[in-house]
Amino acid sequence: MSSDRVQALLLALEAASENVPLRLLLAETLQAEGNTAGAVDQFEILLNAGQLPRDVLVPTATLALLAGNLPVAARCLDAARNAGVVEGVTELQRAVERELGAGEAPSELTEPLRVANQRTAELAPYMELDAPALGKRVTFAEIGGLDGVKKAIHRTIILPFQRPELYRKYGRQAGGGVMLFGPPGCGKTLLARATAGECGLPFVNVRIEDVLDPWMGISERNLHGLFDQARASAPCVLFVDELDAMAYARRKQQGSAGRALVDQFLQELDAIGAENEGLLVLAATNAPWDVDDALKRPGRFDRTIFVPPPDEDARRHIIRLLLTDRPSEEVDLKRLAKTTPLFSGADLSALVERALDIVIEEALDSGQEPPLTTQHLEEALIAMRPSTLDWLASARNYVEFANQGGRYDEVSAFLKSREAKNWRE
Amino acid sequence: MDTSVNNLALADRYLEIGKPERALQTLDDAGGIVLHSALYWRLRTRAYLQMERYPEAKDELMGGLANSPEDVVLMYLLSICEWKLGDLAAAERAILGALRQFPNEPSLLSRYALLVSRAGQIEKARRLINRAAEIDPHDTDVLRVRVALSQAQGDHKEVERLTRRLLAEDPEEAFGHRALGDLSLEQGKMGKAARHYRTAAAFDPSDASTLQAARVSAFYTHPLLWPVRPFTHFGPAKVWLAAIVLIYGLRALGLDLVAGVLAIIYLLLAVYSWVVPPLLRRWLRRRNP
Repeated sequence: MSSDRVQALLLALEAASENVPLRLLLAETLQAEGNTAGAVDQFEILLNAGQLPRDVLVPTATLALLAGNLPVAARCLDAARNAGVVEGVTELQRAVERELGAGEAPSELTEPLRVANQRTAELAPYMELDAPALGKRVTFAEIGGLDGVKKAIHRTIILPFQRPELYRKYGRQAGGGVMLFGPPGCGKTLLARATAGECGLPFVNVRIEDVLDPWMGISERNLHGLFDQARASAPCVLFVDELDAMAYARRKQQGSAGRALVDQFLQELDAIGAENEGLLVLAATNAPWDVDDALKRPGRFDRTIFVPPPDEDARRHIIRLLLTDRPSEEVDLKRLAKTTPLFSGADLSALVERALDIVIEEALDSGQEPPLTTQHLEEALIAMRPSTLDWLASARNYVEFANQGGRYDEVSAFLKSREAKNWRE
Repeated sequence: MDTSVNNLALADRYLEIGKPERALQTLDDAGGIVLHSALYWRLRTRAYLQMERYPEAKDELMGGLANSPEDVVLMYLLSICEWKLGDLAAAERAILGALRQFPNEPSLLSRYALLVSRAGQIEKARRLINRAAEIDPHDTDVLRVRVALSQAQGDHKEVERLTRRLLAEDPEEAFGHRALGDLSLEQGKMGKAARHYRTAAAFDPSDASTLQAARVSAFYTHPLLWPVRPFTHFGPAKVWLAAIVLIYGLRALGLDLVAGVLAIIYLLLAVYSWVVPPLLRRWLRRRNP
């Protein structure tokens, strides 16, 4: 039964049937009252008249899908695409496709979608490929410090691509899986990009947001699609960010959906029904202990590299990079690097930002424009502590109790290093 | 599909992998019709519960229950939240509300049993958990509560039997190994307790109390502390009393030499027990920073 408000709006619309805001208000009121079908009817009238606002197209299509009105949903999708709407269109298209797949749909509906699908498929490689493919290339030169890690990556990952004949002679193939792990903000993602840059390979970035879908089976399909795309672009680097989110240990998972995604991941790494030659899968995680054990076995992510917080030299290099193009004077880089043990690159960036805030405050108070000095940086440092401490505390527990097979030996060595002890003292 | 629906799936994922802050950020970005779904509020509540921010969790629950007053998961979460906030009566009301809808749900019955046991009503808790066990004897939630109740009643045999059953269902269940460690400790079997605690810590290195138990038990089973085992096993007062009685007994029997040697050995042992444990603790801390 309609409410008084709806009745009043209907009466008003009888008098002014072309009043768009009024009809929108009626549609929204009907939606708020739970009359989804009625709301969709009102939106459809506006759609037919070409007066449905651009920002309402996707929500209307979603509502139409909920109401089971597929023709209106498909037309809204088409209108949204023509109006240049980006947000939510891909997801909407998938949902409409699913609905179309569920039942028989008239050909006038499926044809525009088929054309749109084809267009998206053609564009997909260019949409997903990252910086190197678009001309901007990151290399190791742009990463401060981490010399040991860079050397390990060079030997195990880059050289097989650069000197394939040498490796072929010994029966080793280029490609495979490498997992980078360590505290947040210490450059794992940048290292992965730089690895791709050093190899001169395209870089396909995969995040959990690109894969996860609430519908059964779609997440696995998305993951398969990304791997297929990477294989088509091989040789290339496929980078999986936040591996623990994508491949969370199955024994710790509550539902079955996440397990299916891990199974799919394993199939992709094992290249069941496909060839992974020339495909280098890099992954980064802050929580290697949460990654499913099956992924760490030979043939999958069998090479793990610990990316520690930057050492003193690296911190000096990072601070120097951060101060480039900023008015600074007599900054004692050595002293600062010494007083910031365990600070990640992100922490150092925050430190410089805070110091700059102090300088700006001074400039506002004095009317002059003083340069950034060591004193400003040290003042900013007083209130800061490394963000890596929490990670290192967790890592310590895993090293102590769950270091089967020596998988965290590198972390253990780091925890015993002078670098780690410097902070405590 | 609305991006907001994807946000819910993503938030659920973040909660599962223990990243509640990320889950909340994702939920903050959601909008539209999902804001009226019970799932949205459940996820927000779970995020705050994971962060142990119980007052905020309760606020979210109230928002959710205003939208979906009959949602059983929200009621279940409310009972947890009220318990954490210390209001057992409100927690009981919430769990009873959930049980009215699903009277035979083992996880609800287990939670209720745990709640009444906390209030000291062990017999009622026992009846509830037995009912849950009749419905699903293999449910690990039910088994865990049964173990906890048996521990509370000091029934060592039952603790061991149920824990073995729990570990048969899930051999990597840290709670089970922890329970066996506690049991061994109560029986004075320090070495066995240390092994169980260590296994529990390996399966769940995020549980601070298990880690502490593992560290302490490992410390007391160190070979350098074997000579002071009687002190840790029986307590210093009993050991002193026994030593004095023995030494004076030997003297009374005319075995002065033996009593003298024993007294010297015992005094050396006492000094050892004062000096070595702190030194060992310091050394181990330095070795395992």
